[in-house]
Amino acid sequence: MEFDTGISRVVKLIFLSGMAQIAEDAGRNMRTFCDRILGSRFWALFRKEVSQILHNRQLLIQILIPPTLLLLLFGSALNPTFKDLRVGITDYSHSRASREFLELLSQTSAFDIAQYYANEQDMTADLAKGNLTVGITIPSEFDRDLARQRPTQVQALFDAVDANTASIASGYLSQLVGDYNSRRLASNQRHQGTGITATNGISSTTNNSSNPSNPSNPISGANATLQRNQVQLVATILYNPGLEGSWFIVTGTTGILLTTIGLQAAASLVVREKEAGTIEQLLMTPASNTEVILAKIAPLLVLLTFDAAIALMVGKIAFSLPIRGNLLVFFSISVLYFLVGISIGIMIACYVKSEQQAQLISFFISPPIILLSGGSSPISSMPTYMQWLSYCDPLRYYIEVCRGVILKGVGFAELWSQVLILLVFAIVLLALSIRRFRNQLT
Amino acid sequence: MAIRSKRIIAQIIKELTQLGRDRLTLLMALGLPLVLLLVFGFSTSLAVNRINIAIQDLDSTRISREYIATFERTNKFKLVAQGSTVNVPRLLDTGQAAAGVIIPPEFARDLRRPEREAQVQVLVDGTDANTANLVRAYARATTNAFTENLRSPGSSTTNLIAENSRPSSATPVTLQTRLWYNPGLETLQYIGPGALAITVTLFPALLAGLATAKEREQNTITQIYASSMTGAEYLLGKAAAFWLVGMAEVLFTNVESWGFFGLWFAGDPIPLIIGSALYIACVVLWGIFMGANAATQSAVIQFVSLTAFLLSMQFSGYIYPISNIPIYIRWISALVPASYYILLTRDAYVRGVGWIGVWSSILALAALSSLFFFLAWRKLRKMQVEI
Repeated sequence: MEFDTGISRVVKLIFLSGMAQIAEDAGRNMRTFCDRILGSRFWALFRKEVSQILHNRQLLIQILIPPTLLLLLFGSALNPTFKDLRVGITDYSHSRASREFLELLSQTSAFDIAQYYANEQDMTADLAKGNLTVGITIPSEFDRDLARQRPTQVQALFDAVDANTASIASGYLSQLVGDYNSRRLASNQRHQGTGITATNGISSTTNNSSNPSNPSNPISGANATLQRNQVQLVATILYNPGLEGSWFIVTGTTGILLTTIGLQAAASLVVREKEAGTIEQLLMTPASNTEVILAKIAPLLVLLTFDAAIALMVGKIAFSLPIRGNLLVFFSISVLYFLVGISIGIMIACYVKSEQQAQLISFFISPPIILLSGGSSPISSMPTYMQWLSYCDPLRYYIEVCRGVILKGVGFAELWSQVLILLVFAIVLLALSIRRFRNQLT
Repeated sequence: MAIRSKRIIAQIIKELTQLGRDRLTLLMALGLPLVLLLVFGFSTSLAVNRINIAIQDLDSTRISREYIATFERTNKFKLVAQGSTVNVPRLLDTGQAAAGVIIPPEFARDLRRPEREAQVQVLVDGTDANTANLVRAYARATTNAFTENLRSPGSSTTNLIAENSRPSSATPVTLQTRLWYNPGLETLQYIGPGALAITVTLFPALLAGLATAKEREQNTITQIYASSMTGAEYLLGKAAAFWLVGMAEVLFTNVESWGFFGLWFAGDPIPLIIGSALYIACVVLWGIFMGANAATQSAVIQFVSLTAFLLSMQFSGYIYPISNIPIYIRWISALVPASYYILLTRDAYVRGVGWIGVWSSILALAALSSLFFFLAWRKLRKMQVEI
């Protein structure tokens, strides 16, 4: 722990002193500094790139439309919280007890009673057709057994073709039945006069209200009275107490979009020079390869930062994304990550002959980067070797940063390892792409 | 509108020869779906297992250790840190743990006392709402298992709190759960057929679109206009050529999914075969329509990647069920052929109900392919008039 804070203090110190240095320099030598920048080859190249991008309508559309449109579409369409799973019920008991038991299902938004059936065969037929996710059968002796305090069995059939939905549904259902049981046991004991005292009941109710149930949470389990020898679990959901599914998707999609946009835009900018034959002219200018590439990268960095800002705004307005962390931290790490995406794009462009080929290749590079990053589905649910592979995916670290800064509100102190890895990725890939760019003509 | 089969066959042969000459594209068309299928099949899953959990044990008694062991025994959690000095909030902040349990100092004492109940705090990382929900449910279930264990007379932990043990009352309702079609809850059984449908979507559409746009870019399309070939003949010939490529892809990917995912027909394979033929027709015709609308080949790639690929992936119920999509944009799913085709592949490989379960999907695919044929045909005819 001390080691961490030590590092973070050093990082902060370096960062702050660097900033101070820059500010001081800029203040002292403002004029000469500006002159030097404006008169430099880099600036000339930079202006050329900017005007080229501004003239390229397709590229501009490609850069500016997806963050707004796709983010809105995915943020609202992809919803990992399961709601209104269709439940079919065959109630052979037809009693007050069974109806009370079925009330359980209406307490949550996860289940939706679709239909009641007179016999099990009809219900299973509907389950086979895929009209139902769950089929519940209540035996005829349900209320008799309960009244005699004998255990009774309720059968639940799940359509497990969709393994995810089925396991989530069965988890919810067993939680509901567990809550029902503990409530039932508690009231039994109260009737028998053993155990639970009134104070106990009150204390557990307050505990429940301290953990408020909220509408978007499908299982706001109200397990009312508790009994002795019981462990009470006080669950607190951090960072996202309303369990907004869209927050996960929007932060992940932001990372995915910025990667694909940066990669494709960089590839197409470089390959266009190649297709038009102007690349030889560029390489013949007194500017060094590094200058040529950096001038290509700089306007893209500005555009992508703009993109990231749009994405944050869309997230904030449409999905009320909480922006808890420091935006300066977010944008500085973002710029670092954009360098990674852009370098990959430049490398692709160096190996291909036409824009079409460049886009086809980026088709095969993007899906693995996206799927392994954990942007759309959690990494913890992948097979082990896929989890290992995901450590090689730079997007993984960027999405961790996005979620860390935006949702958790953490900063460099917690994210230093991700930043370090991204830095290594950026330096290595950038160096490789500059080298490759230089070598491609020989 | 007369359709002459000889010309269509000539057109098919021409397209296939052209494709055969472009070795790189052919390799991409047939080889890359196989790679993508593996990536898709193995990396998409929402089943939550082995969640990183950190436990701060301020009690450090036999009972609290037994409680921690209960967490270890489930395959749902992976203990990353335990002990009395574990800083749970920090581990959550850095993302090293997805959940943290804090056992208070009086845990064992409270558990023994009749008038109190022990309290345990669980902190769950809520950034991924779905996982958070599951983690909380698992933590509850684990805690319930622990208390049941305490109460049941034969268990080793009972004697830990023996001075207070009461005769256990039976659990009133036991839930008997049966998982149909996929009792092991194999995610691959679910994702595999879906991945199959998604991978065969992209390339037939892409190739057909590129070939159409190329004719326009290189202006060879005027030769077609100058010939006596009708729009329908041209369209049928082009579509049939890429349909053959697409069907070859379907064959290869199915064989691959049998090898890697262990998928084999659960019932009658005929609906799937008919459905595949219709689906590939849908995709190819859509690609030609996109190609006819786009000015350049790179625009086609963008259009196709957006419509055929992203929409198919997100709106077909491949990862999240369609019922999760809000009503006001759910209609998009109805227009995406993949949402019907996925039902077919899942039925063929997992459920095995056959015709009664899937006839409506096959009808929908037939309807969509006729719609796309009409759209592409009209567009091609209009182009002819424009020139």
